[in-house]
Amino acid sequence: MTTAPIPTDAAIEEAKVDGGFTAILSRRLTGRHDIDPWGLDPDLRALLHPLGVLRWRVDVDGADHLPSGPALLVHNQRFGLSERFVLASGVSRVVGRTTRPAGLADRVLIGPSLNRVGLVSDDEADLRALFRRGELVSVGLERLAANRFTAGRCPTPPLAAALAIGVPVVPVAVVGRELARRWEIIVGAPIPTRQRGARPTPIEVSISVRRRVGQLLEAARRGRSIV
Amino acid sequence: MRVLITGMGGELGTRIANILERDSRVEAVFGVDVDPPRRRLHRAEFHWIDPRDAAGIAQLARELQPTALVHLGVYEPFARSSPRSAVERTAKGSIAVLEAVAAAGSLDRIVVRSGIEIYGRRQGSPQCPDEGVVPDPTTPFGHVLRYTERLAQEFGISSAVPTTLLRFAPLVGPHFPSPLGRYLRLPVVPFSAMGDRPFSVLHQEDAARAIVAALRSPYDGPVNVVGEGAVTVSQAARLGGRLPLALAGPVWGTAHFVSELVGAPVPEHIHELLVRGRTADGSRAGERLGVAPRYSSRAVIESLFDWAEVTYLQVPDRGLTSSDTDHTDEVPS
Repeated sequence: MTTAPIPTDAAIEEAKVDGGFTAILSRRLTGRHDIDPWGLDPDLRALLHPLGVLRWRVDVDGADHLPSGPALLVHNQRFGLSERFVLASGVSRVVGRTTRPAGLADRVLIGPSLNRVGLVSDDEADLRALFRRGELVSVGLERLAANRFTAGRCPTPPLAAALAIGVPVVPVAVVGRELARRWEIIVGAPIPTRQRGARPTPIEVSISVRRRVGQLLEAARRGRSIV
Repeated sequence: MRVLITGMGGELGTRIANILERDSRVEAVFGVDVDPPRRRLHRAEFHWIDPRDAAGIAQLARELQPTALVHLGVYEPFARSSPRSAVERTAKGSIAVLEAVAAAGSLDRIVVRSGIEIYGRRQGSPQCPDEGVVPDPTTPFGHVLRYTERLAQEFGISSAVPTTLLRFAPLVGPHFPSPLGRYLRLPVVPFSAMGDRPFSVLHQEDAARAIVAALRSPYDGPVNVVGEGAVTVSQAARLGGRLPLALAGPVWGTAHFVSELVGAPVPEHIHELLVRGRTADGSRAGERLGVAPRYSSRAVIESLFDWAEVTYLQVPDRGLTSSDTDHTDEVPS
């Protein structure tokens, strides 16, 4: 198992605040900080990153399955509170990339605030645009609070966006408890969305990715890696 | 190519005329507008015709036989005209010019200036729509844009000519008349306390390059042209050294009233931008037009506050009497 309890060099570089706190303050006072079209504020995210490292100790298995380009990471959810942030934190620590959790509702105050740390809506057009920019987007399966080792159904709009652009769909199992610090992420082999012949439909990919996440969860339950 | 430009009197129309008249492949450049051009034209011809004057435009099209139409006669409310006049000029002018060029029968391409306001910002709508999103305007200016696009598309289909619909992000610049530009230059800039959402803008030079590229290599369909990245309203205020002021709810009405009193009226599509943000995915402009914007949204906003200093020219001594030249002594060197 490729565990990563200690941040990698890439993650340290990524999390390092550009120029220090004074530089951040200066950028904010003069308005020279960056904001992307979905509202992500890299300075704010860099400031919050150490809190994520303190809150969660994330072991990542199968990080080599994460594509270098755009991808849709499909993960299980139990209560749907921590999983998306744990996944973003874990991916950031092993490959130094930002993950954009999809599924944010367009609500006053809450929506724009969570946009600042990278969350986006699961609108198909927004996801297509994110994939064209080469971003990693994560989406949760249906919440199944009763059993943390069971994969729920997969929403199809994000899969339709991934298929439209032809980005790989990556199954991910996120295992942990809300009140505990330690979490485990198991990244499975990507499901290709561009093959010779007929392109799979969102329903087909949905069934396939749900089955793969289920297998990863089963392996986690048995304490064995299948990656 | 014989190019007819509507809205030539605007900053963008005049700039395109200047670019095209330097191109030897362009046989002739003609333009109409209700306002005169903003710069000197060397080869291009300007015809002072109100866009609502269908007979005048029809006669001009018959005489000039244009092969390309650049329709910039889309008037933004409170940019150069009142909201009512803007709608009337755009709607009547679009019908008049499209009917006129249809009757002339010489056209082989159309380029229309549209805007990303056409997508609307309804609750739950995509934050960054691409060209695949069905327009769902939520403001009068957005509806006017959709109306103009539909007219042009119908004409393009019936005449079998490619119609490029360039959906620009809001155009702002130090000398570009725009309600957003005037608003952001206020000493105190109100922004939404309920979520300071990002918006993108476009430099007028990038808009001009996109129009010229669409003229040279026509693309049949819509293309978003948006400056890279985005800014928020409070950020734009700080970039210009203005004071950002957080507002919410009914206080906006008072703020807009005061804003109008001091010369920066806020039309509905700008209010929507302030409270809901406005961006679009312009990543396909490069592949469809062959050009991509050079200026980022932040660079465009910075240029909005970049007023060039006035340079006074020394009047040469031509043997005038001292009383005639006294005023030049007061001019700082």
